[in-house]
Amino acid sequence: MTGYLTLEIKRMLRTPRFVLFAIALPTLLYLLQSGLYKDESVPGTDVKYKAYLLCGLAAYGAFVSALSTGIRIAAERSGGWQAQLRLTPLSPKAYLLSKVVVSMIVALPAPIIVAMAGGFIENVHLSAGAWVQLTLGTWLASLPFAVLGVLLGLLASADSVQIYTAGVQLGFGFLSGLLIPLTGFPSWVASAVKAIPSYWLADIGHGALLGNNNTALAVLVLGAWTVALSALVVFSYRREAALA
Amino acid sequence: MAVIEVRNLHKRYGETVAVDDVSFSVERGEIFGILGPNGAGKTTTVECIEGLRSPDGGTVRVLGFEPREDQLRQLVGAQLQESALPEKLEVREALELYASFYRNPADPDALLAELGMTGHQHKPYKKLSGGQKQRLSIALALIGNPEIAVLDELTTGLDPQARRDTWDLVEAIRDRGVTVVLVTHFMAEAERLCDRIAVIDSGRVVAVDTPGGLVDRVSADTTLRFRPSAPFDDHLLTDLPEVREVRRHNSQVTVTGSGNLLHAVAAVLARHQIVAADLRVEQASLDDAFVALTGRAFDN
Repeated sequence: MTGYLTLEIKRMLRTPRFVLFAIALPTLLYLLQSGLYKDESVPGTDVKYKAYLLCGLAAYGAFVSALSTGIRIAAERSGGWQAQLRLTPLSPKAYLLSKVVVSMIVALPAPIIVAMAGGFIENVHLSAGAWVQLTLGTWLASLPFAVLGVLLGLLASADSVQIYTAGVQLGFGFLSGLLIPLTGFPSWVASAVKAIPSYWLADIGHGALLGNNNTALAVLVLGAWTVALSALVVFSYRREAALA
Repeated sequence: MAVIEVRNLHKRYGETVAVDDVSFSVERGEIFGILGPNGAGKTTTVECIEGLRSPDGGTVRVLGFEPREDQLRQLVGAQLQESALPEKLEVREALELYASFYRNPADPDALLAELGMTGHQHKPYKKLSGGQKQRLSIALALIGNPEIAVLDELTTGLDPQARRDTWDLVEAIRDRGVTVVLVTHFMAEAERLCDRIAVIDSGRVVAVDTPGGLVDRVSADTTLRFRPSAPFDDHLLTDLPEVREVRRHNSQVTVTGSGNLLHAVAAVLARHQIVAADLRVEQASLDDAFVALTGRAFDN
């Protein structure tokens, strides 16, 4: 597995364009919105918007990056590279795990850079623990999206995978309030979006800021998503072989 | 000893029957050809052997294993009809990656040298020529030191020189003791390389034999064409037991017969001091064998 994983990491470093976009968009959106909110606080709290916005956009950057591996997998399926690897002793487990690991590596820079924009440009002050939870916590919590990316890559064709991925990115991004805060929306909307995993991803960061005790629940929900999506990944990979 | 056994293989894609009823066995150490026109079911057959496809009926055993068993991946090297490595993957990276998969890999450097690829080891896949890509896929099929190598349409799209070079490589693989299954739609390739050939047409095996055996099934006839340096009487030749027919067209003489026809005719002409200019010898080819076996022309 290490041989394959090493190569996958090398390949990922050669085509950084997906990651660059996934870093640039949330960073720019953050700077734009924190400029609009100036020094306003989130209603009912003393948390400034410029800090609160970091959580959603760090989460957005992390999960959009994590998803991007799916585009590559779909291309490898249609191009025949995956079939070629199936002929080798590389196990399905090693193949799929390597893809998830690479997705996680890709997901690491975005939350850190968004957080740096907050700390250095917008002068957000947080405790060290809060910064770690916001960056590394958000990164680790993007695991279900890494798995979801692999799943999309296994299900979609090379032509359609971009559309599905973009759909998931924007759908999850807006509905769970990552791209724009849901604080102004009616409360039933805020309740409904709790079904979406990206809501809980942002909640990892929110937990760091608001000091609420939702974090355990968020970890539980994201863990359940990871398990369910992993099962679907294994099922899809096997089904493709069985139907061939 | 048979290393591959295929019995009554059947495979359909939706309504289309790709492989109808295919049976053959491959012996250890031979180059076994699977020959047929495009769409005959050759690739589907070997993909069932490789474990890439699951048959709808029949049995396939490779070295005693079911095609999808994990142990087999160490023992079979395969080159796909359309190899598709990632564009930016370099030759050496690909080889080292494949070497990492196997318990007992060949030395990448030695293999690169043997395939004449040493100078291209840092080229990305997309910059390789057709012949270089094929050589790389042969290298990838061999890096695990397999017992069986499956090569699918290895020389399609290559120029004649690259094709001949590739043929030499395939013979070298067999000489290493590797059993080779060679899928091809080129008659000349099958005739030149294969110890035995399964001729497949419309998803069925129409014959399994040596190239010579297949040709002999059709006709043992030989045809000679030449321009005699001096006039002679047809009886000189028709009296020979080997000659069945003599025809003349303008200055050209066409002699059809069997047995050691060339030797018999040449001896008589020499005795009468007649030189046979532009002499051509035509024997039944694998093409003729295919027409005779399937009732239609080999059509690509």
